[in-house]
Amino acid sequence: MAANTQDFVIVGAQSSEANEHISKPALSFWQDAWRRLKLNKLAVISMWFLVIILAFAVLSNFFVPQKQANAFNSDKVGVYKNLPPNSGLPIPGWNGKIKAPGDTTATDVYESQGVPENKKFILGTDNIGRSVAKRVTVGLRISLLVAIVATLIDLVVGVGYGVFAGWKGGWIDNVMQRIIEILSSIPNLIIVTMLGLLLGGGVLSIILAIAMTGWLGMARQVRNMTLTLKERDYVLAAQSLGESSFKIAVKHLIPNMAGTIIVQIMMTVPTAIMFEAVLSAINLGVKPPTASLGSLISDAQAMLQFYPYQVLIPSAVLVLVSLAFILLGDGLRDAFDPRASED
Amino acid sequence: MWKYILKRLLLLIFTLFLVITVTFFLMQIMPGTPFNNPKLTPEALAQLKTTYGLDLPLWQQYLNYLIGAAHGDFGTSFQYQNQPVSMLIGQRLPVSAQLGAQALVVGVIAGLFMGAASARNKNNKIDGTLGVISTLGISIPSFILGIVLVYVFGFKWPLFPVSGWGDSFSQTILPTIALAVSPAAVTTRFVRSEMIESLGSDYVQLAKAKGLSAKEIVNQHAYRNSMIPVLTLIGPMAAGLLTGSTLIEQIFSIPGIGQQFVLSIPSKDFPVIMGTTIVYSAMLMVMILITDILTAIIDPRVRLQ
Repeated sequence: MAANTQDFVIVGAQSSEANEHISKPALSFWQDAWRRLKLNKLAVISMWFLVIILAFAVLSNFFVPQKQANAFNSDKVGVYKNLPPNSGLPIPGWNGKIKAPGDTTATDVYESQGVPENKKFILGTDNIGRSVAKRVTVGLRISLLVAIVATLIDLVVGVGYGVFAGWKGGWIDNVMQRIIEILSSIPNLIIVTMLGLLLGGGVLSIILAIAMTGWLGMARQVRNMTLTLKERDYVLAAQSLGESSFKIAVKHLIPNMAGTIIVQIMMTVPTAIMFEAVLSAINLGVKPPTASLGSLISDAQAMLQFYPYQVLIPSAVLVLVSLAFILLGDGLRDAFDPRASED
Repeated sequence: MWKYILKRLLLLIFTLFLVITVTFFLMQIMPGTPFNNPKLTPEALAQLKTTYGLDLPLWQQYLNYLIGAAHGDFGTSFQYQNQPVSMLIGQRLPVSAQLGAQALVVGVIAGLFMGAASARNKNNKIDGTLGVISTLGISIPSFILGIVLVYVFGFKWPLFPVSGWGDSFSQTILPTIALAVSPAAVTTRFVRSEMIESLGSDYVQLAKAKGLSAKEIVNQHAYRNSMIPVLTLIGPMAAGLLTGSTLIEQIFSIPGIGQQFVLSIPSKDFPVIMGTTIVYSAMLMVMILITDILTAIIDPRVRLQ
């Protein structure tokens, strides 16, 4: 009999110790989402791009103050106005030379206007001789400030409204839903313009005007999530332990819909940036000499044929920032909800 | 069905009434007046106020405005004397409508093709390229695209006229493209995900088992079922087109209501601002209503509430 036990070998489970070993650490929801997000190269690039842009916007307060970007020397407007971008290197189109419409050869505007030898404007100057690079820096700052503060207001109002409506249910939910329906059938442009007119320009009024329209989408999503989540067992458990409704919302409901909320935020910011530009284009934007990306674009638009860089540079910045937010939002949505992209 | 339509119509009228009321009272508390010419004597000012009915008590002005609006009369413009607002808008509405319709049709058709191409070539180069294009299309606001188009095709390589309307068809090409890109991008993304879903569905599996060719499956089964949900997008797209066309009309000097709206803001031409607001809201609401009704008719799975 002893030989028999030798004939059989235990397969697969060499030792109980190896069996107990877990090859992969258990991942929390956030770690798992982060792992999936890292697989999406575009989203990661966008994320770092946005981190750098935000850091730049904050730090630029120290080296490009608003006053410095707005100031211009009224005696030397003729010398410094409308200088094309000059990198100081012989790169075509970036060497301080520009072809006037109709001309075949590019002229060195720095020379012809008598700009001192050592003065170079890397992104050129505007029509009264202010550096476009500095203007775009402060413009980006204002645009981001407007967009982010408006989005934060949307976040607070939209989440509060959505959770309240979804949690209460019944006729309260019904009335609150109708209000959203009515508000969303009025074009955003109209609401933004009306508030812009009423509040009379300035950064604060732009923020409020944009925030007024942005919270609807957030409220609708959050309300739908609340309707599903409030049926969950952990909510019932919290209720039976005597937790207040407010605490349940803050401790259980909102953390569980954080993914949806974050994705929605990523989509709201570019919309807010766009509406800021729209307001500037219809003369309801920031008041000069303050600059925003939108006001830079619409101010320089009249001279598009002659000084295209004055329009195209702020436009490119606006598009890149929006694009980064949208790409990161797409990536985050897939990361939070892998089933949606698995097909 | 009829009950549903009636209910929605009543809600539409109620919403419109709210919009009129809110705009009317907002206009009363707006800072500034259009009559701030220092040359105006008090007598002339009083005369002007009587002409425009601004000397009546507020509730009577409101009532007059409501009754007028119900008859399609939105008062007289402050800026262009003796021009009724309804006439100003009436002249310009067809232009904006044509521009919007062209952009919507071009955008949706392009989106249908690109979305289908993207789904059929899932995860290869074509899909990747179209994905990049549609993401770009979503993140570039139409007015920036309009400016870039003016620069590239108007000044750099002057292929198309960059301003005006009504003289030739070529004038409409650039503004239409500028406006169509965003609907095209939205439709592409939407059709792609819808079609990928239907390509994995049971009825497509059955069609495969039946021995249909890939082309037949796509044309007969998958494509048709992915097209219906696109209808639901038309409402939100129309909202985007309204915003976009305002600035596009300004950039391309197109005499539409968007341009009128923009011009009336700095001159504080309140009757025109109110009139355009109401027309804009009505247009969007009707678009959303039509979309909802069409969806309900075409897709029986949509349950009417």
